[in-house]
Amino acid sequence: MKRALVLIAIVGVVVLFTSCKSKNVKELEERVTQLEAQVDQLTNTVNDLTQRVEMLEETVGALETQQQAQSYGRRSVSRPSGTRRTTTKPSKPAQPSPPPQVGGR
Amino acid sequence: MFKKFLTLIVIVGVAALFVGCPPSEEVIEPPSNLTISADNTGTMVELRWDASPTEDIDGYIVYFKPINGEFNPIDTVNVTNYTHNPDGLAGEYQVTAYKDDNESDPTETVSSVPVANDVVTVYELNGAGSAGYGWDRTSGAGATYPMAQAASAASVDFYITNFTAGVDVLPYYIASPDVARQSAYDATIVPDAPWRVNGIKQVDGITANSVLPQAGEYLNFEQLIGNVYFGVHTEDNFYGLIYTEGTPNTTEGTQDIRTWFQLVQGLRIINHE
Repeated sequence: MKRALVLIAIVGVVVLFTSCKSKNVKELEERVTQLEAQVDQLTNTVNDLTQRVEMLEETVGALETQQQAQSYGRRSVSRPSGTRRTTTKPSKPAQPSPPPQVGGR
Repeated sequence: MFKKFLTLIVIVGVAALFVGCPPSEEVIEPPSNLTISADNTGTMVELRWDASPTEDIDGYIVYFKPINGEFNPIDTVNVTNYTHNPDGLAGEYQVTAYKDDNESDPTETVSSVPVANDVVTVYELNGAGSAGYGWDRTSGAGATYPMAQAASAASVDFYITNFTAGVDVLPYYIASPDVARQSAYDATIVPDAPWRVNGIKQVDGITANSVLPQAGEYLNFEQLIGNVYFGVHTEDNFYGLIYTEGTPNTTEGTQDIRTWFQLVQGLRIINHE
């Protein structure tokens, strides 16, 4: 009888520790899996942002080149000399008459 | 003595067999009343919330879900507010409370995603339909309104006109409602009323993650060009975006447009794809 009671007690304590330990290990494993997924998502986001920055840098470079070309073009244009036209203007249909365009809004 | 000790062990052992492992996680109540607003630059998002009722928490985790993305933690704080620089990205926000390895459920979601409105036909002021268009400040839904009625003044954010008689004269313009009373011709159609003093600005090359120009950079009207984006800044400090779908129909006097409206007052983020 005494031996049976001792056996039950030992089994009970073992079960207590084993179940607690396995539960904690399982929770930790799930947490690690979640964190790994989040790291993957953040890595993808960083890669995406890096690509966008590179595209923007290329766009800025192209715009600067275009701006330089336009400013050079303006300097080289000269108005041709000539006589003023004396022809009369043809009559036009009613034209829009907007009020003054103002900013600051 | 040994018998009593043995009995105690037996009781504990049997109890453990039936009860199993006690719960290890403490329930943490989530924070509440999450609100979203814009900072004074119009490019950053300010979040505020009420504290979790759970005592001795370690802090809060702020989550952000960009358009077409997933919720991810972006920061942890131990105060009840957070300012996020999303670099032009609109998205949704949630906050949780945490203590050690335990985390609460999230708050309700708040959003900086602009409300997208489907294509609608707007008429030139002399056309057969409504020339005014405005956004609802609660839902972000856009609708057309007749400019010939004073009651429309409370709803219109812009209108389409050529500032002259007939619908066959180009160019058309996108104009702030208050301009109607400053135009000699339009004032013959549009009644005197407290029309909104808004701003319009063509925004070439705006991308999905661009922010709209800041207040002060907008005009009272802009010439309407087909297939182009126009930003709108309203007198009550909201921002909207217009896309002119195709070119004006000068026979019917119509222009198709799509619009987006940012419900967060003062926020210039206007993701539109």
